[in-house]
Amino acid sequence: MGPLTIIATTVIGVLLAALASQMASEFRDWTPRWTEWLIDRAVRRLPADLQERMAEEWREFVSDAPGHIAKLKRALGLPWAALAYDLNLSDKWPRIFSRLVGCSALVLFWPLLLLVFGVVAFRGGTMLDKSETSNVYRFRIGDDKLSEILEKSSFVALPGLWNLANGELIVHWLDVRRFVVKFLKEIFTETR
Amino acid sequence: MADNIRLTHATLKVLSSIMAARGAEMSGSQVAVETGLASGSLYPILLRLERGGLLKSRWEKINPSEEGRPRRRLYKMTAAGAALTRSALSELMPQDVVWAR
Repeated sequence: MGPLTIIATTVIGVLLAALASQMASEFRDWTPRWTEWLIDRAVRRLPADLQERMAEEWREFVSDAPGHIAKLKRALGLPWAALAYDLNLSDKWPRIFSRLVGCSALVLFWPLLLLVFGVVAFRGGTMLDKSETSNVYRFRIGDDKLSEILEKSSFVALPGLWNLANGELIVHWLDVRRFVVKFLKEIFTETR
Repeated sequence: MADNIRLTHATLKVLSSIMAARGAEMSGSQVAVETGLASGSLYPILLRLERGGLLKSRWEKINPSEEGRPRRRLYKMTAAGAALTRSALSELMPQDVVWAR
């Protein structure tokens, strides 16, 4: 390594260090402005009766975080907080999810549904029943062979997909996952 | 109103951390540190719990210029909130765990 290389490396090192410290001080100077802007945006999304209070509360909340990065991190979450509160997302999400599951199941399994409905219609009489506790549809069960098959295969609950798609029935995503896993396992073991 | 509140994992975290304060008031910042929740999830929960009557909040009575910091909004459990938290947590926990006052 010649003397020129050593000098060049030192100069570049010093310049980089100076640049880094300059950037750090820029960051320190700019964070209050960024956090203020984020709080302002967040507050404007809130209902009018909450705006004044949350503006003050959130300024304190952000200033209470130790360090500039933590302050910025807290402020970055606030527009999301305001949006989530405004849309009531956590209340609506289960229903939206259930409707999506219901609709996709109807689209995916419509040939099966058509077949089962056809067979049940062939039996004659009333086709559907509502469960005692809720308004969820199911096939009417008698004491014939078909009812036995329907109950054993769980096809008896198929009309409930309509309630699911309609948003009258809520399904938890863990139950959906369990069902899908079981379904895939069955397919996998059968083909092997 | 309280019936509409869904007790998610994050909601229970918030309720139990305020419950653990045993009647003391907590600021949003303290709850954030205790629960480890980000502000984007914490505040919708706090506001919804307050709207549902499970929490109540008030401004801290300090003189900001004397203390050298802005006043805090303090959150506290209501009786309804304590009852709901107790019943929700006792469903999850073994029978012999008792919430001492």
